[in-house]
Amino acid sequence: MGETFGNNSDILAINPLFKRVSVTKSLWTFFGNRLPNNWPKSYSARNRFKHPAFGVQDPLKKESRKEVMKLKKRIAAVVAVAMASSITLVGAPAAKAANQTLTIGAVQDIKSWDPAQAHIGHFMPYFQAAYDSLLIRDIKGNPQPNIATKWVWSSDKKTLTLLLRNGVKFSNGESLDAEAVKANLDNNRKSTGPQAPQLTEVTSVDIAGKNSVRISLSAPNPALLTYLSGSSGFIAAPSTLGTTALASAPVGSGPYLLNSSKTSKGSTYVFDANPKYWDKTKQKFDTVTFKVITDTTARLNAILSGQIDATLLDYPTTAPALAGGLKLKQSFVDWSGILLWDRAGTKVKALGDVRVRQAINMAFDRPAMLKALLGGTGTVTNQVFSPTSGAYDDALDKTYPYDPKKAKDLLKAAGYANGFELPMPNITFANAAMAAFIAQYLKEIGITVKWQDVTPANFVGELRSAKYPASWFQLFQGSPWEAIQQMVTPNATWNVLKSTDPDIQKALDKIEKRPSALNEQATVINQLLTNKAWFVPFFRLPQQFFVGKNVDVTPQPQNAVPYLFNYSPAGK
Amino acid sequence: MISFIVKRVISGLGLLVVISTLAYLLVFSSSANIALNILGQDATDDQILAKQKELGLDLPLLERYWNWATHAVKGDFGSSWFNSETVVSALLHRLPITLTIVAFAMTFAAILAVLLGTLAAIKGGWIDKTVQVMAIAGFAIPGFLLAIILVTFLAIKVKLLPATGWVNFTEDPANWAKSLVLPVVSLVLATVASAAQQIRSAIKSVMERDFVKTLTSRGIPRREIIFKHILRAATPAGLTVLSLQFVGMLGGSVIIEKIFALPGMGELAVNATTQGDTPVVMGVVVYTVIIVIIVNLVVDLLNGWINPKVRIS
Repeated sequence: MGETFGNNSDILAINPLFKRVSVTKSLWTFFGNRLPNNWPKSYSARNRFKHPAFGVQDPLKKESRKEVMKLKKRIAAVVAVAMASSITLVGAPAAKAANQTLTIGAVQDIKSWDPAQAHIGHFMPYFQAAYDSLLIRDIKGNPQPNIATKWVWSSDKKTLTLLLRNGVKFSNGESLDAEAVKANLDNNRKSTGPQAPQLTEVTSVDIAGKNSVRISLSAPNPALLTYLSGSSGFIAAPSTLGTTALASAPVGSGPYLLNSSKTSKGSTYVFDANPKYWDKTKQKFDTVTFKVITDTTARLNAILSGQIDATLLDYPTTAPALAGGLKLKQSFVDWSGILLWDRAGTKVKALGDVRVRQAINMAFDRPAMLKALLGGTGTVTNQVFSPTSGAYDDALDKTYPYDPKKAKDLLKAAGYANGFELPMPNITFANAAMAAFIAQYLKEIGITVKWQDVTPANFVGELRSAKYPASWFQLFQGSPWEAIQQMVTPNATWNVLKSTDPDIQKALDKIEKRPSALNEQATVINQLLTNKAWFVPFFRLPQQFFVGKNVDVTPQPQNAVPYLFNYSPAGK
Repeated sequence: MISFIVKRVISGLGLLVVISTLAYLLVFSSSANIALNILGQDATDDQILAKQKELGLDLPLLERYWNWATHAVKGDFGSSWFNSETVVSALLHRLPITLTIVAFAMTFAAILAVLLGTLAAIKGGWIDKTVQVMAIAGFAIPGFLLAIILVTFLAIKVKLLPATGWVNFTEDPANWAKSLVLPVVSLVLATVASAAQQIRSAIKSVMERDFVKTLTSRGIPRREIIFKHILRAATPAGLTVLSLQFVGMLGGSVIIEKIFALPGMGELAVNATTQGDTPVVMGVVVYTVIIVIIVNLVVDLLNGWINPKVRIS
């Protein structure tokens, strides 16, 4: 189990005298364990106390000897009682293994404990330790009851009523009831937090009873339950919302409580199991520690040396991790490729022709790129929806095989036999290999890429600035509605030049009229996007998550790292 | 002596103003999309505008700089744009970690460099050659490479020392000491190699001066000449070398902190710069400049104390 340094601060707080004991003990642990095997026996603890220098009672003093005998009897009695107690405890069915700890090597530091600032991906396990969410996603990614035990949609799918669990309390003693849920959802949707866009269609949150809330929407949102089981559904004690204190210390009703004395901001966050938590099945560990280690090599070293139990690594660190006996838990979350935004041909006229976009798709030898860039870890693809999304169509991944001759023919048919220039942004220094491949393959069919370097800090902003007709990027593969809202609808963030298509719009309209048809219509949209070549997907990227020998974990679909509830002690 | 100190302090303050202004301009030039970076890639335009207003990013450059400078003079560097922690609090958490590592590394490096440099200069022969080979090796092996080698063997293979992390002294002194060893050793090597070579040269050049020959011809014992005269005369050069090494170590600690996942100033500086967290970047710049100014001032004072000619000049 992961080594947690500095866990005696409580003792130090009680009595400064222990500082000296702690120093001695620690030094003994450091040097004592390394004493040679042939160390003289006279230095052993047992022999040491027989030596006159340690003040053994004079054997001639019978009174003293009697006292010693009495003391021995008392100790024997205490030991016997203790052993009997421990046997009883071992036999009890509710007994828990001694001090189960989980130490996670976190890729990113938490920015704020305010649920309004919660986010998916690397931030979810932090928030799941401290807070309950309204709903919870199961291992397949489907929303399940949690604080909301039941929910009912109105017939027009514009009102969602949640029935809340009774009797749940926050760590400060406040009740988690309808008022608390309303306060949190209002706080989330009015904030400038990362998940606020998920709640833009929410027009009001009303209290429908002590343990019931009604969420009204301006338009049906098939992903609302998914959002409420993710970063938009965490609930903090209402009295703390909007306070600066909430940013630095969570006040939730979650399975674990932040141990402030053992926590060092920006470095280590220690959580102890909440003794009053309502669902003990979510508390598989007595202590959960997050160690923030932003550097991948440092995370590899930490998990190989046993300092942490679980962490996310990458392709270059996979081989040493496997060689070190770590267990790989791979999942696919992002896709990587080119986003061809200028489908109307307003910036680069050629991109307005579907044949040109299809030609670009055929220009790339994806398996060769995957092998060269990621050592083959990943899956080549031609579609932007994930296999777990419900919109996935296996056959679509064979739409655009590497065929530069056919690509040239398509360009010729579209009137671009001599090619054209394609300006695209590139992250300075950080993306050289990918940029080289893209430029080389496009050059082979006559398209010249004009790279325009931007700094990493400005890259996303530059992409969204609508300056470029296309760009390489890496996007999250969420649920069908998340993906559609992310890159398909006219107002989607990654539909940068606001492209529209009558066939795609028909499918979107069908979803709005009949939200239950989401997966069916999302599959249609997926086929349209692929055939009309809105994108040039290269690969689905694996998350190389590793655990040590003491922990098991199941990856969570559509999340960068496993949820906290997916961990368990090894073999349990 | 007082006017000497006053002059040094005034020139230090001038340096602080110039560097902080330049740093602010550099950070400003790359902060165009900062609100988007804070809010995440899916933020709406309205949210981005609201965030820009909240952070004062809608103000002209001069007004923004003036607001920052007037608060900074009072010791208020604002809060991180990304996690709302005050800059002073972030620095006070992290500065002791960096300074502890650098101070230990500097102390060991200074002792070793002076010993090796002096021995090489005075004894010559194989010791001199060994020090020179070590100097080349020290230059050739970067600190980060040594750090990775040390982690692989001492932390992962032997499991003698922790691979990453920091432990506060008050929590667990033994683990604190263990967490220091590898970062300090990684920083020491290159510094010793470079400083020993330069101290050797300084001592050698003093040894060739006429007053040493005069002292020798008068029959003064060699030991006395070395310790009372040669080393004293070579000290200013040695101190200057070590002060430069100290500043270099502060920079070198950035990489070392990354490798060992130490929550020090280096890691804070790298993360803040990558994100474009202007308040934190500026706090790091100002604190670092102040440390460098203090170190230089102390070295100047020591030089002045050792050598009266420095005070007069």
